[in-house]
Amino acid sequence: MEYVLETRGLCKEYKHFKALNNCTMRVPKGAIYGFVGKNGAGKTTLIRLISGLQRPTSGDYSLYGVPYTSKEITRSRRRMGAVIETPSIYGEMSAEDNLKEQYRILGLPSFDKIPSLLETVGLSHTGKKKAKNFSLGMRQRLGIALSLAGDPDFLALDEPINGLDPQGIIEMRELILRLNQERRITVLISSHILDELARLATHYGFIDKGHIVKEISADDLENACRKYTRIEVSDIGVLARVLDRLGLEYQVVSKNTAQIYQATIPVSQLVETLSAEHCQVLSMKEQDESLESYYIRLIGGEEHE
Amino acid sequence: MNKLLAAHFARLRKSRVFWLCAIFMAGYSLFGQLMNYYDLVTYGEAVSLENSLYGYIVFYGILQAVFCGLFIGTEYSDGTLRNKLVAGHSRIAIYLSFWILSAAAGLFLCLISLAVGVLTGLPLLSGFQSSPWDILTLLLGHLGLIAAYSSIFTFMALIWQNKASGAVVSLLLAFLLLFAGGYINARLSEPPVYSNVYMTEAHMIAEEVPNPDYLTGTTREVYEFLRDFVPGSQAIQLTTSSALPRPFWPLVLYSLLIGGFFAGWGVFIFYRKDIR
Repeated sequence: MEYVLETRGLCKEYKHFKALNNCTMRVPKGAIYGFVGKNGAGKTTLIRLISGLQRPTSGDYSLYGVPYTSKEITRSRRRMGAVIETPSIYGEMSAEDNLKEQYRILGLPSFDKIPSLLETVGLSHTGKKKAKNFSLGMRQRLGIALSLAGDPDFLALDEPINGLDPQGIIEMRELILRLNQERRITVLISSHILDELARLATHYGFIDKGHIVKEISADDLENACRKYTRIEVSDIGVLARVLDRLGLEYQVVSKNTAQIYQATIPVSQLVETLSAEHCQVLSMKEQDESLESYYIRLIGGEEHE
Repeated sequence: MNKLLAAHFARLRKSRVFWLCAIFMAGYSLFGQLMNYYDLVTYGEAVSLENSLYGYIVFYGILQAVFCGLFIGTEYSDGTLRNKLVAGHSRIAIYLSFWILSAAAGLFLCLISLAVGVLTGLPLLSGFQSSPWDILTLLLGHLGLIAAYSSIFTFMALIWQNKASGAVVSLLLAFLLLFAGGYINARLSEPPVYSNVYMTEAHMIAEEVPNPDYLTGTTREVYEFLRDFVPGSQAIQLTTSSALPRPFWPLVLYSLLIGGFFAGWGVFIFYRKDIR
C-alpha cells in the first residue's frame, strides 16, 4: 500500500510537556483518515509538525516518501494543504481576494480557477463581503478553499467541524467526501466528534497522550466492533445473577439496563428464568458497538504504554 | 521569494494601516510647509522649504513600528503565516521578504512626505539652500535609518506571536528610541559654561560658571557614540542638512549594522521558532 504520510517514533516536547510521544502512524493514499483523540492528545501538534510549522524533538516523518530532513520536503509540502485549528484567512479581505493572495504565494500565474474553487466550497455568492464577517462555517470553507488552491492531493484538516451548526456540519461532510471521491484527495481529519467521523473515515488512528494506540481501517473496525444486546429489566440484581449463572458476558450500564456481549442469546431461557425470579423484561434491543464505545473501550481511563 | 513579495505588495496596496501612515506623513509635511508659509507672511522672513522638509524622519520610526506591528502582526493574528509555510516557502525567505516589504513601505512613506513637502514648499517658500551633495548625504542617512528601523520592527513583529502586544511593545520601543535620542542630544548640547549674573550694590556682575551637566572625557565619548548609533538620536540629527554630523559615514554604517544585526538575529530565532 502506498502511504502519503508516515511518521516513525515522532516526539515533540514543549519545555516539560511531551505533546507527542513516539508517535508512529501511516496514512494510506486515497484514504479519509480519522485522527481520533481527546483534547491535548497530540492531534494538532502532529498536524503542525507535518505542515512545517514546528520541528519534531526526535523521530521522523515523510511526506510522499520524502523524509522531512530532506531539502525536497518543501516540494512535497506543496502537494498538501492544511487547515490548522482556525482557518488561516485575512479577515479584511473578501473570499476572492484571499484566494488571489494565496495564488500569489503559490506563484500561480492565473486566477481563472478561483470562481470554480469558490463554487466547490459554496462561497461563490459572497462577493465583496469581508471574511471577518463570515460565519464560522463559511470561514472554515474558505480555509479549505485556500488549502485547495495549490491543487493538493493531501489535505490535513484539524477539527474542521468544531463549532459548526448542524447544517454546517452536513455541508462540511459533503465537501470532504466530494474532495476525496471526485478529486482523489487523501484527507487526514482530526476530530473528537466521533459520530461525524464515523460517517466519513475509511481509516482511523487513535491517539492518546501523544502516542498512537491503534490504527485500523473502517472495515476492520466494523468487524472489531462487537454486537451486543441491550436489555432493560425491572430488577438489575436479578438480571446480573441470572447472566452469571448462564455464563454470559455483560456490562451493567444503568440501574435497570445491561449490555450482553454474545452473538446469540438464549432469549426464551433468559426471559423464563427472569420471570421465575419475578424480574420483568421491559425491552431488548440488538445493537452494534459504535465508534464512540470502541474508542472508550480502547482509550477510556486506561494507560497505554 | 518573488512569489512572497508579489503577495505582500498586493496586500500592501489594499492595507488601510499603510495608507493611514502615508496620509499622516503627507499631512505632516503639508502642515509643516503651511506653517512655514504662515511665518513668511506674518514675519516677512525668508523661509527655506527645507526648514521642516526632513522633520518626517523623527516620526518615521513610530509609524514604522505601527505599520510592522499591525501589517506583519496580522500574519499571526489571522494565522496566514501558516499558509506560507505550508506552501513550501522557507523561513528565511519569509523573514527576509517581510523585511524587504517593511523597508519598501518605509521608503514610500518617506518619499510621500518629501514629495508633498517639495511640491507645496516650492511655490510657497524659497527654494533649497543646501547643496545637492548635502541633500544627497542627508537622504543617504535617511535610507540607513529606514534599513535599521524596518529591521528592528520586522524583528519585533515576527518574533512576537501576539499581534496586539507586539504592536504595543514596538510602539513603546519606537518612543523609547526617540526619547533616548532626545536625551542624548540634549546632554551633548549642554554648554561647557553658563553665565551667572548677579547684582552687587553698585554693579551687575556676569561671570562664567562651569556647567556641572557638561559631559567630558570618556562619558562624553560614550554619549557621542550613542548619538551617532541610536536610531532615535540619528533621526534627530538628520532633520536638517545644515548641521550634518562630520564625519557622516559612521551614521550610515551604524544603521546598516543595526539593520543587519536584527535581520540576522531575527532569521536565527524565526528559523527555530514553533509557529502555532
